[in-house]
Amino acid sequence: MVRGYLVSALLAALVAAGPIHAQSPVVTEKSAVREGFVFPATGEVRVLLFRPDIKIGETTTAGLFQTQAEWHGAARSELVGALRAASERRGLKVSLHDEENAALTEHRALFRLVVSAAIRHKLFGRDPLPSKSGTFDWSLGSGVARIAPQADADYGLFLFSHDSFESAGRRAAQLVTALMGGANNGGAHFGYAALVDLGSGDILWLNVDLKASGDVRTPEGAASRIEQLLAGFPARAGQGQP
Amino acid sequence: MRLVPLAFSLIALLGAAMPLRAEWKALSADEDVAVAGKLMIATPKGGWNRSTAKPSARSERWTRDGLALNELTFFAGVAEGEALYFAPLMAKQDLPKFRAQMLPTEIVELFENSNRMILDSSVFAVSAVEPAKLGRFDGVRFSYTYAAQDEGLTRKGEGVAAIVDGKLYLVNFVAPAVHYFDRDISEIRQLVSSLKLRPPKPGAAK
Repeated sequence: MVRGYLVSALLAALVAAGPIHAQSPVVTEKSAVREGFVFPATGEVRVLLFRPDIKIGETTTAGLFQTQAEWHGAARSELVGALRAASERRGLKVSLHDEENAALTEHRALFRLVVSAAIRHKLFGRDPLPSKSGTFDWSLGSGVARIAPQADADYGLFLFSHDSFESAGRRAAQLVTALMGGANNGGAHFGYAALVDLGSGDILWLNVDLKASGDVRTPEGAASRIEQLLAGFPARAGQGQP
Repeated sequence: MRLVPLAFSLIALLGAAMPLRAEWKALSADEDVAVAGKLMIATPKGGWNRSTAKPSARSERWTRDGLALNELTFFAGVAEGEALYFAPLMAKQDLPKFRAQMLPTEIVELFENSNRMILDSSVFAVSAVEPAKLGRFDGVRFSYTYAAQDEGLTRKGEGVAAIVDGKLYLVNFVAPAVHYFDRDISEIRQLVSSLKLRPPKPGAAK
């Protein structure tokens, strides 16, 4: 419990500290493509959609995040439907990998670490690694092939979505804070999506949105969120975005 | 319903918008580089970066893809009564201290207990302790695994340590068990075996 309060305090400090350092509008959405990657000009683009990694719940008055199972079910259903539809609109031949297995669980965990590293050291440029200058070469390794060895796909699409809605008490507390001149941070809504080579595990494309919008519990909101997370999705060779 | 501390994902993401104190400098491939107070000379392969932020006054930290994905730490000249790391904020107890008379197994315990405190992890298991060389000096090699809280992922690590002129020298590599450890461990072993230790001459100033 104490740890929860510490985390909340730290997050509040991080958010509150942001504007002080901001000399220009803060960039909250960025993507990167592995050097030279485009989909082949012809033939099917077969993509395995991994079940989205979803965190959704309510921020209590004390600042603790409380998951909501009912919201999770709705968000999962809507996001999967929207992801499938958006992928098909881009001309991808998609199949859904909806079964959680050990290989997927461990690669999801690795994926979160890799994305965190890419955000910190590459995409937002605040803590850059010189060795990554001019290149985007993170990988999950060839072990990704163990996730779905029978899949009829060359690429895998990982997606993470986080939505924290404020409780009534939290909104009231935030209103009081705002009236006293403090920052009203609102709920937190962010996510990222990545395309992975199912043979090598190389991350071919990554898009991160730290300030997403849309209520993912609804069809319209989920469709909007998926489009935000698929912004900058790679094109076929010789074409614009699919 | 359950309460979920989101320290990892939120801090990682929001932290991206914050300037950090540490800076990184690229290391040239296949060129000798003085490490950790110039008490070691290492010859890395390509892609490594060294941090200006040090885990302690007598150490240095490198990474290729980000510290969470690969971390190579060099400790050099740790003296009697010193800890491996700077004390963490709000630490409930002091970090264990090095003693010059430590046996190889006690050095491994020092490393293990220090990291348990630094990582706040109880799931830290050491295995495969065996004699090894650190550069040309006799020492001990040890392997370990641990699971960081909130990450859902196991890390593997390997360290090689030696006591030279009463001071501790140690090189530690740690990375996620999935992909990253196996990808680099052969290269790390090569780096460790070719490491040159430059302990100060007896009587020289610290």
